[in-house]
Amino acid sequence: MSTSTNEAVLSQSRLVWRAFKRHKLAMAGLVVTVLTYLVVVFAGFIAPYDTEHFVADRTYAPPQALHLFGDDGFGPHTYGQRATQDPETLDITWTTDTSRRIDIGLFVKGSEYSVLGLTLDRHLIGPVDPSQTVYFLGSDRTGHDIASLMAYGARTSMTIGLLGVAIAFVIGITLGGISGYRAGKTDTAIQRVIEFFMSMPTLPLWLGLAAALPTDWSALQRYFAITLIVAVIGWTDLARVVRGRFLALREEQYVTAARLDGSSAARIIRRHLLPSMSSHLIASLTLSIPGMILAETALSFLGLGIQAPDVSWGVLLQESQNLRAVTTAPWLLLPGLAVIVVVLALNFLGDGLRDAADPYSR
Amino acid sequence: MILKVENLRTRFHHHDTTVEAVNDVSFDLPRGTTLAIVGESGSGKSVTARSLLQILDPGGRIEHGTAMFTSDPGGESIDLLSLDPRGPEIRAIRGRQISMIFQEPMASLSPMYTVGGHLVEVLRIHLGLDKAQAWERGVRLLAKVGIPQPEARMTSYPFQLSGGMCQRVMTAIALACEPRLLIADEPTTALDVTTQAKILDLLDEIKATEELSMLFITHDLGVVARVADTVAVMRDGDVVEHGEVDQIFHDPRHDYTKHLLGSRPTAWKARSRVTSPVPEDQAPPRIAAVDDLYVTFDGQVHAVRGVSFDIYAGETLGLVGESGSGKTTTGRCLVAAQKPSSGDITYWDADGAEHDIAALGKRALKKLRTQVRMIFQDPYTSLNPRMTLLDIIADPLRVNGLAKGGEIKERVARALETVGLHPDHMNRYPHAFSGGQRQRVNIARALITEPRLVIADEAVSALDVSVRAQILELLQRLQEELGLTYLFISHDLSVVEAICDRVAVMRYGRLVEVNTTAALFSDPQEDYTRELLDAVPVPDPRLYAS
Repeated sequence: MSTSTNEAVLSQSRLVWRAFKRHKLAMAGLVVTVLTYLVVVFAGFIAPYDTEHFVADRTYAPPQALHLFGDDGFGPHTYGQRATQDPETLDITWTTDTSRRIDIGLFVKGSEYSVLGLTLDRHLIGPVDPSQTVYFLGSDRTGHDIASLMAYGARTSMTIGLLGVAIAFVIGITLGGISGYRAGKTDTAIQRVIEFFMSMPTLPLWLGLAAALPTDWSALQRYFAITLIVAVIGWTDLARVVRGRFLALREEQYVTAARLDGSSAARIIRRHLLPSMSSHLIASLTLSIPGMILAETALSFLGLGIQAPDVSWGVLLQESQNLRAVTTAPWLLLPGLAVIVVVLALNFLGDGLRDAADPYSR
Repeated sequence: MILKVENLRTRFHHHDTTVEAVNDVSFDLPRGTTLAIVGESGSGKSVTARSLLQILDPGGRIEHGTAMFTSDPGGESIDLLSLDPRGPEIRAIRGRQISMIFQEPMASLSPMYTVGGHLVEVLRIHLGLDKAQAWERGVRLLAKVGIPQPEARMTSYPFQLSGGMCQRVMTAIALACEPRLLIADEPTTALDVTTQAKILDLLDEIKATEELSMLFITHDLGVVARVADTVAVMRDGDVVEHGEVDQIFHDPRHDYTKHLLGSRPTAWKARSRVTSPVPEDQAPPRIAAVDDLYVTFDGQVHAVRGVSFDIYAGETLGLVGESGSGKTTTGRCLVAAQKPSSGDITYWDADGAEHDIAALGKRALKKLRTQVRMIFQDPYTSLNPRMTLLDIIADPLRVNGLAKGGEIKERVARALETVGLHPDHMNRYPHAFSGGQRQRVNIARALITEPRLVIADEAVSALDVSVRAQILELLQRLQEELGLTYLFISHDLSVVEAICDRVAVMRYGRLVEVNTTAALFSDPQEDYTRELLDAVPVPDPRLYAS
């Protein structure tokens, strides 16, 4: 093959990247994931308002459409909204008031926020007049901007996954690694522990643990507690994977060769076993983040995870527990859509990584 | 002519690369004869056979060519390649008029079905027999392929049978519909040599009684000489020479055919050294000794049962036996990769001090392992695919603190040069190298610690014949240059005969016979040794002409 001379010197990461690029869905997943994490970092900049901002008399307001061409000439703008209440049913109906034009600009002044240690007051997009409130994705029961809440909610939802996975990762690799390398009695003992954890019904356990959290804990304490709870269950799958790979790898001839070279167990694990499954680890990590996100969403949705006024996608979805609210304001389901998109993106990304993980397997 | 293939070209497309597996190949197969397609790995011999039945792996495409198949003399000819691969015509031919047997008999049979189940299914689909008729016919087929107690075997599962028995069952299935042409793709490669001899006898017999024509694919020149009437030699997708078997072996025209024949261990032996380093009259110094060695796995499997032999300094001791004979386990005991259940293994170092290998402490063991090294069988799994050659070969130096800093690179470069590789390639990964080159890396890793005793466990078994000859020559050259002692573990008697000074034969964990190579091959003392020697196919068709 003409590529063989080239491949001779390519490092593993380059080969993985080449295989990964062929996987179109995974590339899409990667783009979505990167964009989402950009939102996490720059939530304050991207969100038009902060989480405190609300307009008390504009509840359940529908999304306001963005226009470019209007009667008053070119320029991004939207129109004001007017509420009419049905005197009999007391239902509020919102209509667009085209007589009131609200100009929209990029990098407009707004409330202060801090990002990467800087305190700024410019927002990516918003009304040119800071006293106006525009709901790009509608408002909720209390008149908060859903778009802003979702941006801030991504912070909690997306990072709780990372932290949970990191904790699960350490426990999983350590216990799974010992189990796979030592085999025999140690293996049996650790596997029984794993089975014990796996046999516990997850949802009731989370509920129990979350309900046991003291109510007077601060938001931050709660956040870490939830991460831990989610991680306690999450490590078992990874431990199983690591153990399985180690059991297979320790029979490889090159591992035997290393042992005959005089390498110690620690050196064999560090230099031969872990590197040969690093790509698999990355893939399984990516695949376990969605699980964590879903777990947090589920807990918060049931009111036992993150609690208002802190926002996460699960907290936002609490609003849509009420069928009436959903029928009058379907945009309340948008955080659910965000969860679906992000979870799918991470799954595609993980699949792509797993397929690309071993460039030498041919 | 039962089969006439012209200009067959098959290509494999994978992503953006195209591999020309078979390149305008033409050959013909006269009715009632055997054509052997011989070639090294990647020569396209299997793809040729699979193209005929249109059972290529995904990505494969027949670009052009014809394969005229005439099922009955004077009958109509069909171009196999023009048929729709999924159509009814080719399905009627596959298994019915042309059937195939494969290399891995165990993998070709489903563990979920009994032997009878396999046979009855084929007979009912192709011949439309009812269950009772099919069963009865299945029993007759098993009897025909030489399976004892065929009625009882019909209800056995494949995993209850040995590899040889499975291959017989596969043959019975292939013969079920009385095919006109049998394609055998390396049918004996996975079998032990004595089993191989029996299967080859069986195929011979069936060919005669069933008026079969056979297309026999193999890499083994001995097998070719044994079975073939005509031979097609393939290389890189081309047929380089096509002719009568006697002409191919005794009057080869193409350089590659000559090269292949020259790589046979028997041909190559003539060039090997003649003097044995072990003087016959005086007791030579021993480097290692195995005394009454027993190894039992899980308290039940007796892998080695009471083996004793000496290894003399400077010699090459061959350890031969069929699979399960305990030869590998014995070798592993010598490098302390396996703990003996009982018995002693002694090693004498350069100063003549005696060491009991099984009882060494951690430090002493580490030291021993720099002096007794192992070369592994599989060049593909014995090198960590994620490390460069430099890291792979330098590992033993680093672990044992034998060299530091720039000296490491220097020594690796020297080791690569010694085994015939370019030192500039030390930053490359193993996947950039061929099987033979990887085996050279393996040898470099074994020799980097300047060992005295090297255990080569089937070190050339996975290699093509021509590469095998090069590696054997390299091993022998290194032995002379570095004064090495080899324990050469192999199932291949021809290789052992070519390079060993003495040979030990093992069977069922016991030592059958130890003798100098010349004495053992010319005058075997034990029945089993004789059986083993007789079973080895000799690459000379004239020996089988009668």
